[in-house]
Amino acid sequence: MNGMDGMNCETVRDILPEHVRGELDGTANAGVEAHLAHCTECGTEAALVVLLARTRPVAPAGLEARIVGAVRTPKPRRVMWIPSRAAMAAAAAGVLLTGGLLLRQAGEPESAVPQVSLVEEAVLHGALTWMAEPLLSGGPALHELSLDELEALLMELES
Amino acid sequence: VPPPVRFLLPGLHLPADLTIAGLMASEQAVSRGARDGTSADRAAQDDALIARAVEGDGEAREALVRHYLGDVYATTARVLSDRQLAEDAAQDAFMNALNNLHRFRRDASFRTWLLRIALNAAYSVGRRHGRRREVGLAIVEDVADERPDAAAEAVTRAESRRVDTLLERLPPKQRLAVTLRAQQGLSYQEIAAAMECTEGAARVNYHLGVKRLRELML
Repeated sequence: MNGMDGMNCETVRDILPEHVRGELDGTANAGVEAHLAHCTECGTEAALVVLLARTRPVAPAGLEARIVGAVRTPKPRRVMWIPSRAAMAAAAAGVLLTGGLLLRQAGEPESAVPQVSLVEEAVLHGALTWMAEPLLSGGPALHELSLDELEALLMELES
Repeated sequence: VPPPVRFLLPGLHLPADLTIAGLMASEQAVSRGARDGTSADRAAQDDALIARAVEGDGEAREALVRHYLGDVYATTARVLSDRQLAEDAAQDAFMNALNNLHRFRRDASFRTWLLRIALNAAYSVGRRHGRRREVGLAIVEDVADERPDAAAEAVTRAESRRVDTLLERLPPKQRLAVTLRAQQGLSYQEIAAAMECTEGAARVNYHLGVKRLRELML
């Protein structure tokens, strides 16, 4: 529904949590209130979001003191072991020797292949086309989709 | 004139004269009262506390725990549905975060970074103690409330608790998205960072969860 308030249901439902917490500026706040005055569907969701906001699990008494007691003193950072010069020289010689042998066995390296990032590759193959276009642009609003359609969309997003 | 809330949510026993506007105004007043400053103020305070905490300042570490314990516990409690395990996970989360503050790169807010650690701690505790309990235990406690109409408020609170019970019946990702958005006020971008998913998936999980909740309440 796109009311005289200029806000449609999708916009209103997207910002309901901010509205419930009183975090919207004056214009947005007035827009949501005007919309809720005539849209019972969004009104129902608004009531649900308020009820949810009131039941956030509250940390039990005593937990703060317990955690503060445990974290007040920082855990000492591990001191990095610094080997002696002789040990470093021996290790470097070992690496060079092993590397040389391996290179000899492997022969010439393969010709350089252009590096394509995983994301670029996914876009090339169409897997992330939704990233290139705004999500659901031109399509139905999220709240208009059935549970099955939302689940299908979610699977697509997660695949 | 919008109908009273009990006609919108017929599955709940709400006071007859409770309106959306009344419900909303009451909640907004409490939320505004609980907030101290803007998010920019919060970020500046966090930066100062983190800088001190990295240097080992005990008071700064304590202040970070005080500021974020509510968010961290609400998250671990929702994942684990068990008070004792949620407490253990919250403690693990703070230990991990505060002992690794030097690794916080500021590409997300401190709160988002901490909640990501809290989720990992909760999953880890959950794995150590077997699968998540199917039936949620009482993780929501009564808190003192300053709202004026005490009788109507008591009824509304009882019904809120029923909604909370229904939340436990959602699949884990939907439950978490609804919790982080409706109960903790995170943006989709922050939820995506905390849950390590795309913003689109965070949005769909939230809407799917709310839709399911509405169906469960019919």
